[in-house]
Amino acid sequence: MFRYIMRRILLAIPLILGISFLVFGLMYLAPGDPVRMLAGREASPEVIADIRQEWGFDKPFVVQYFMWLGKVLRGDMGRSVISGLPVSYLIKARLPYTLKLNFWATLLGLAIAFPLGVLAAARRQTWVDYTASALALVGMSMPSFWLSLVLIIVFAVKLNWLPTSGTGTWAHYVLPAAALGFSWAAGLMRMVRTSLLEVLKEDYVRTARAKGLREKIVLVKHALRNAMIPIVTVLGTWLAYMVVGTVIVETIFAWPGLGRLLTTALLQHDFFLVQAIILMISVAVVGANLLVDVLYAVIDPRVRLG
Amino acid sequence: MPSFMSRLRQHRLAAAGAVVLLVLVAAALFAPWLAPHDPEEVHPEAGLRGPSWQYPLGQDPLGRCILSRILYGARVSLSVGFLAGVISLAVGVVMGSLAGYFGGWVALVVMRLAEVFMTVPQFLLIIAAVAIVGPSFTSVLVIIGLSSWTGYARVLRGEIMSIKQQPFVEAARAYGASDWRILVHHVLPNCLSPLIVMVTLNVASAILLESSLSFLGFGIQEPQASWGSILSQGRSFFQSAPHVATFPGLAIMLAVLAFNLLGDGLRDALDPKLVEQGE
Repeated sequence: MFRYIMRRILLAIPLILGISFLVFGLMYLAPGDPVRMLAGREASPEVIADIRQEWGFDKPFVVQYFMWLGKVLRGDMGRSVISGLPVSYLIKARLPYTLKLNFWATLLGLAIAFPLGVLAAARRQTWVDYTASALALVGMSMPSFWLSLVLIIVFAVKLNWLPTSGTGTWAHYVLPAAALGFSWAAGLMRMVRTSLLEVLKEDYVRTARAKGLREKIVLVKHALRNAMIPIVTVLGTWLAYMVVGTVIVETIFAWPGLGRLLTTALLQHDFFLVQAIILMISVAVVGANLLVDVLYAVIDPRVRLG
Repeated sequence: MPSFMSRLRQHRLAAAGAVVLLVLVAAALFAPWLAPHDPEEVHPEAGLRGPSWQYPLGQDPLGRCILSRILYGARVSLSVGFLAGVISLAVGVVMGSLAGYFGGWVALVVMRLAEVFMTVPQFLLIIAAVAIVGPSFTSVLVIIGLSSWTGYARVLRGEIMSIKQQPFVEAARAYGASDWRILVHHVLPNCLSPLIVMVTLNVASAILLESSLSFLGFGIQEPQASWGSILSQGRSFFQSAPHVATFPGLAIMLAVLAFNLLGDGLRDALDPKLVEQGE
């Protein structure tokens, strides 16, 4: 187990390097002189020269990349062009809002996807299954921004039950978390259903039924546990889903999180901030995938021994 | 082949998806004849007016006909979807073939690259790249295409690695066939089923990506219409005039749903064993 996890962690290092190279290369192509961006409009020539040297902007691409990487590893990701504040400070201020929103959205998604997926598989080819599957398909095809707008029109404008923006109370979480959670739940529910159906065909399920176990126990204790492996794979893409949703949903609900920070930064060509956000989220995805690999090993002994 | 066609026809939902797609493609092709108005003709005094006989789906903030804009927008949204799908298929097939057929360090490099592209959330990559290059029809579709190849490469590599071991490939090699010939004539045709399913789902996701980009203002720019950009026009007014955002949203959902249904049906028809290839 320990060796397996160590191996996974070592494999993540070249991946993170590759990601940093891609992100750096992308921003290298961005228009505008990064020195002027860092120095601000009224900087003296001496300050400009200093910054040019500090960040190595007079050096070739590869040297620049390594100088940048060195800074990032020490926690310095540059300053925002617009506000002049350190990028890490801006991110730290926004991150909690995004995390809280994603937490509730994830919880909601799990609470919808698992019961519905299991129910649809257990009542295969009945109206329960058809309704649940149709809902999932529609949910997958519905753009999250459109769902957000519809939720606002119905629950905020027509019924006047919930607020459309702000973060003060629990009521502020309901609509954005629902918009974010529903589309994720749709894909997950389909996966739960398919993998459970796959497992229900196995011999050991027939054995469990034959020895007179109640259907509920067969489903939850025998089948669902084995169906978890493909489901965990989908959970690995959870963070990527949340990120996309976050960018859109936060923009619509004026949520002061990372997603809105990113879209504003893009509109203002604040590329150091963009670079830092993308890098941070991608490293978080590497971490999430690592966690999924460890989960595999916990669920399925074949993975860690094979 | 006949069994494939009959299996697909049995799949009623997939057939429905195919019909909806045909209708949408026809709407895009014949937009100039179907549209009741010029999609760029403005009537500022009639901005945000709701559906009427003359304007079946109402008017946008500038008083333009929403139905006409959705019809013309179908051209943009569907072509971004198809062309981005073609680009990612092409890149994915080249990468996957290189990795699967040649193996060794080529495979190592390709698969590591794919891993990087799979880890950085695709939407972030696209939105940043479009912001840097500058948003336009071409940049949007090329960037979406170039960032969606990894799924193809991974699946194709696996398929090729197993097909490569088959006796008929060995026979071709014994005949003296070149690597290229073996790849194109013997190996690739055997990988078609998973690729067809993936293309369908890939086009659906490209349409969603484009609409999300355009909705946020990083995609197709005014006055050109795409479903996402029409919807984004209605965003600030949707409390007082919900029709502006509602109808283009329905168009997006219909198109994506149709592709998803077709993809599901194709998967069942081509290979019942093929499991979900979640992106």
